[in-house]
Amino acid sequence: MSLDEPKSDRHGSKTRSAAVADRNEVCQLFFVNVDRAFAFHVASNLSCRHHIEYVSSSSQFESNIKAGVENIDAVLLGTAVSEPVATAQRIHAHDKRLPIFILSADSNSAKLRQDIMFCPFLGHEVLVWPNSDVDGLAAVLTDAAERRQQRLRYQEAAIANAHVQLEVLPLLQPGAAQYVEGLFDNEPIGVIATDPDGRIHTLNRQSRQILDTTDREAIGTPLQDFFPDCEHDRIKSLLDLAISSNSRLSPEVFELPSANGMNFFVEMTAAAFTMPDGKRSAMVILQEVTLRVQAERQRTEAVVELRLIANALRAFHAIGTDTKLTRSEKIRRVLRLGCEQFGVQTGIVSQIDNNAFLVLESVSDIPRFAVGKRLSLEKTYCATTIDSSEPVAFECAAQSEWRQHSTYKDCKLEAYIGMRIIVDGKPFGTLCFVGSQPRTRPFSAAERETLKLMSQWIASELGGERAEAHMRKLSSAIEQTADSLIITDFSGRVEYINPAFEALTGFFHDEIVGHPAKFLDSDGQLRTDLWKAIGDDRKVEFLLSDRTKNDRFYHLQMTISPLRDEAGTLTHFIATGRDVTALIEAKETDRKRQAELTHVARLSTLGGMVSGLAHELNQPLCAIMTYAQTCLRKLEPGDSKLSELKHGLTQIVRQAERADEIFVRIRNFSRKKDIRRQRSCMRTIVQSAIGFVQTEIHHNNVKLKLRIPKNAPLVFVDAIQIQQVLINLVRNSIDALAEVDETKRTITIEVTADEEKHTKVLVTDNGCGCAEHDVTRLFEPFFTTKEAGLGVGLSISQGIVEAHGGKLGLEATSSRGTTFGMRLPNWKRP
Amino acid sequence: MQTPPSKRNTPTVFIVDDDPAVRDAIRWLMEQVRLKVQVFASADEFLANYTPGARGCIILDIRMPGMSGLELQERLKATRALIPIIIITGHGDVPIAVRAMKAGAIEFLQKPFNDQLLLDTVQSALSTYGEIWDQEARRQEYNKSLSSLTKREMEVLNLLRTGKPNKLIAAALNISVRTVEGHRATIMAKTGAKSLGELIEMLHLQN
Repeated sequence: MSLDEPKSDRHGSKTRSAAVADRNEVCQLFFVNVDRAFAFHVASNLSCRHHIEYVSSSSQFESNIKAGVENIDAVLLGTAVSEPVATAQRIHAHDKRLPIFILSADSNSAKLRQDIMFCPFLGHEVLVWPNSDVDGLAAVLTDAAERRQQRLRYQEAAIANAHVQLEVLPLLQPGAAQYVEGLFDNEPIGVIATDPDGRIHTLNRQSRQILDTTDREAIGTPLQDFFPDCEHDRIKSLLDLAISSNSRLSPEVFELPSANGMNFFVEMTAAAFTMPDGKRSAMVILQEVTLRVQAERQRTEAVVELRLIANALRAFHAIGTDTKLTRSEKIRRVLRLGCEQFGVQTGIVSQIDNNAFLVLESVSDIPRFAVGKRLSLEKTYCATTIDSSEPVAFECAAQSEWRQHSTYKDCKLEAYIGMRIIVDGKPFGTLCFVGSQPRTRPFSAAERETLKLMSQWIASELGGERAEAHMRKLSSAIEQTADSLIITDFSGRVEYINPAFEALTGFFHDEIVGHPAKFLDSDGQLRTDLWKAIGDDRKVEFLLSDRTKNDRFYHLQMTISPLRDEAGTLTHFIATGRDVTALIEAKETDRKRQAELTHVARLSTLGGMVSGLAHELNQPLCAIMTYAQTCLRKLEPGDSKLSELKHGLTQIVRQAERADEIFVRIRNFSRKKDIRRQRSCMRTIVQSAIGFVQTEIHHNNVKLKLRIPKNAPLVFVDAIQIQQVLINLVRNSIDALAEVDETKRTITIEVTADEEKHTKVLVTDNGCGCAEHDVTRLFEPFFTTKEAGLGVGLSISQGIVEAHGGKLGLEATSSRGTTFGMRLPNWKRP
Repeated sequence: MQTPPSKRNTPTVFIVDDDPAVRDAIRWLMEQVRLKVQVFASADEFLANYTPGARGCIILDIRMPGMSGLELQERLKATRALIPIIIITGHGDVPIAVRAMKAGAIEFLQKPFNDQLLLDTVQSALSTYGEIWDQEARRQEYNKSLSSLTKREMEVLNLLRTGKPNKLIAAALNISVRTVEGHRATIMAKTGAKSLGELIEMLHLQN
């Protein structure tokens, strides 16, 4: 293949269809300065329809294109082309829709892309292609070439169609001239015919409108006179080119001033034209393209902006995901990126606290902006920025009110763009870029958006740093805490346990994590509670008793809280547990000790009553003996009737029973048995207790009054223990009565149904009362006012009553008597 | 060994004990040996029904509500009541026993007691006090007769007791021997004494 080969007369009207057909057959790809081996590799992936032209000189290639001699479908610029972007730009100056691929080493791609982005006169069909991707290249080349061909085919078909119509026009028929005139005038496009000197020969109505002129004014006037002076040469050369060349030239766009100050754009297509006198001159087609040009410009700007943002995003991503960088290195890179994008030398991240401006990070040659420098906020442009929710930017302070700002007076910083940084919802500081030179371009919306992005990115980095530090603190606390912590997912599967839980249970992380949590898995009350609590968004508290790996019991006071995500969906449960094993064991030990103490106290009470009991027991014994002996007498031979024996024997049995009752009472009272609460009648308890102290009451000449309602409620107690309490109270009362005249000693035991669900027992004596300074100490262990007393009676009694869920206390005391009250819960029907 | 009791002077066993069973048992025992028995549930009840001079013995419980056995014993002693007290108690309490014995209890028995011991104690108390009660009865009789003598007759009697003959008495009182003889006859008649010796003994008892 050579450059000269496809020399068909494509421009001649007769061969046009053939040329179109020809294009279907062959794609012309031009490889400029492409490495041969690489080209070969690409070629091997292309179909045979593709012809590759290898060009070793890019300048030669450019001049060929300028001459319009080449039929080209796509161009590949090799890595050896020294300035590929400039080359592409020159190619596009000629044909802006020609696809150009720039091969590049990976390392250079980014730079090239950026160059392209900032290259104004470049069309859209330029693509940087990394030379590492050979296979993909073939595909995109094919694709681009196809598109190019398709477009050309469409254009050529349109032109051919126009020719056919021209050919069938009845130009030679009478009135044809008028017909053409009419056609011209009514064309929606402007058509101007010029003479060989470039003066307007004819023009249609549309042209007059576009040029804002009249026939009289226009005809004979050189066309360029309607254009600004600077365009005169361009128009002249356009017309000359049209006359000299046979080809139809590509349209060119001219800017025209208008009366209202808004410029408008005209697209001008020139073509050769033969005057009726046979002279060659030029015909110009005018089309107003203001809207199109504006739309195109906007689109171009939008694309540039998009590229800017995309570039920034890519850079952020690259910086953000680079795990090797420290946070401050990342921020510095972003600052450098910003400096590049905004074309300034200084980038600063500041922290603003009250009136102080602290330089956190910076990229700058200016010493006052070095990292760690502290400035007065008023001396910075950022004083405005920190209060603004939008970026603050100006290109040239000297030409704006900013020249009044003290910062400008101090440093002559001309260009500035800054945005505040919001961390955790509060203004944290600013991100700003400043330059000492005025900026030629205004800061675009895209650049402002990019700055916002940068500010948000830095905010998230700074916030992340804070959050990370916070998380580190939290997680360290969780790891260090003595409390157990378990986190499960929604289904109750354990996701995390802390070392405290491992240490407590003896189970290792791997034995628990990933398995359902035992306490959540159990059915029953807890699960019900938990679900109810989740509904109410409450915590659940309960005591968890379980065994460790070594089969020891442990007890945890658990709190389970549901954890929800931002949308309010339940995601996890957090269970914290305080180890209360020691506490519970201590309580258990304490309970046992208390029971023992209670028993000892009971024995002690019994001991105190021994003489009374012995006396009580002696009576039936004495009676029994006497009856029995008398019976024996009655059995003496010759003595009286046997029937008399009956009385004695009956009495013996009765008295023996009486003695037995006393023994049973003592045995019950002194027996050490487990506390057994049961439904008991208060009346029975009081009477049994009185049974014990009856003798003492009797011998102390005390009058005992009982006020027990017949329908006294049932209580739920250990009867023996409550008897113990009552005996203690009554004996205390007996002691309190020692000083009282024998005939007046009274003890009253009153049982009342106290408010709701409780029964109250009041033991009242008419003794001399408790001394005021003793009252507060009555229930202290080992406090006693009696010589022989141990001082445990009341304190143990109180312990007993409280263990029953009741209360024992001094109700009243005065010189006329004392009342102790005991309040016990009633038995409830289960 | 028992002297057949006259109807009026049959001694009674007073049982004072707050325990009804003990009370009844002792009563039953005493009735078995045909002793007259009265039972009291307290010391106060006993005092309310006791006639001073009544013959009998008290079986007394120490520990009782109200007045205790020891208190009753002291009250009786204060009124010089001639009645033997047998203390029965459930406690072998030495200080109480000593106090009771010092106060004149004739026996201190611990419950439960041997029936024979109680009966023996009761019998011996009754027999010991039988003579005391007889003597007391006589003394009261003598007191009654001596109190009927006139002043002059008492003067004569006092001189007679010193063993003075009528002649000396008459001289001492500055009355005639015949008047002395007259007084002597009246004294013998009023006191019912059969001889001078008997009269002397009478005087001795009274003092």
